[in-house]
Amino acid sequence: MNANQDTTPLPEDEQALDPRAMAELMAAQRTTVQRSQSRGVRIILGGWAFAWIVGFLALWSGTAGGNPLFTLPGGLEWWIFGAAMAVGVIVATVTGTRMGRGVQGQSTTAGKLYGLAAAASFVAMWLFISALRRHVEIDAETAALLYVGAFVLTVGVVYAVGSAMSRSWAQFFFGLAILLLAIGATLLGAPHHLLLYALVGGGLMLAFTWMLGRSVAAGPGA
Amino acid sequence: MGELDPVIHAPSRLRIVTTLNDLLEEGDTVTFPRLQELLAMTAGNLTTHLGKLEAAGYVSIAKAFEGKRPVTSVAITLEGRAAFRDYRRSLLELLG
Repeated sequence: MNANQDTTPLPEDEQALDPRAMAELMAAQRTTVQRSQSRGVRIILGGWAFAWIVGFLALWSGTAGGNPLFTLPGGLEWWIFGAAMAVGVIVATVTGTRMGRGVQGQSTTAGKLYGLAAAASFVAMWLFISALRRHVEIDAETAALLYVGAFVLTVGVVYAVGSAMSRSWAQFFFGLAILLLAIGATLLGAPHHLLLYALVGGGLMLAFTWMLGRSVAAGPGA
Repeated sequence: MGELDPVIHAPSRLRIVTTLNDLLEEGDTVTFPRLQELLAMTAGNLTTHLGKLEAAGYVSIAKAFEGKRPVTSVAITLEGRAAFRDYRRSLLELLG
């Protein structure tokens, strides 16, 4: 910026508009800022919705007694699941980094800590169950319920706790819904819990994405 | 209309203060290019209005170097946030 060299004459916008027009201008700018923030969140959620729908449907289709229409050949379901989750992680990382561009300070520190805490929680949950299996015999069906259930529970906790940072009740209830999904799917049992995660989990993410878009379109008001 | 802060009561400056108030948490700064992108204003126009807001104590502007690249960062001050809050309240009162 060249504050000392700039000799641009003040434009017409130095002239104030009537109060209603000024209020509308303020509301429009608030919507612009909010849209710039929420667009990234919606892309991240869309990426995860894709990952859950494709990934869990693949797992369901690769498990005996799962998809009645076809069964994926041995091992392929895990490759598809891994690839879908990798897409989710890449979309979230790239978009999250882009969302914070240009802004520095306490909120970016909070965002980084939140992201690191979420990643650490997923790894810790995985290691915890693996450690537990060294001492407790867990059959394949229980393991299928436990690993995925723990993963989904962690997702729910991450979103619910993250609502304190975004100050969003919608995000809080979304996190709670994911927690309830983990409980409901585990009650349903294997292998159809995977179908529930794909359809209800992915559906919840798409619904939350749509709701965010609607709230921005409605505008924050003046 | 006399109750409205004349520093903020200009379309471009109102948009700048609104953006900084909504975008930044306390202790945050935004780079000049990112602010320019959100406002869709020319660099010269933005510079001029930021100068007026800085003179009123509503924003602070810091210039630094990242390597050899100059970076200008803008923050809204506590005084700026309070002025924006007052302006908004007065404006909404005027509209009933």
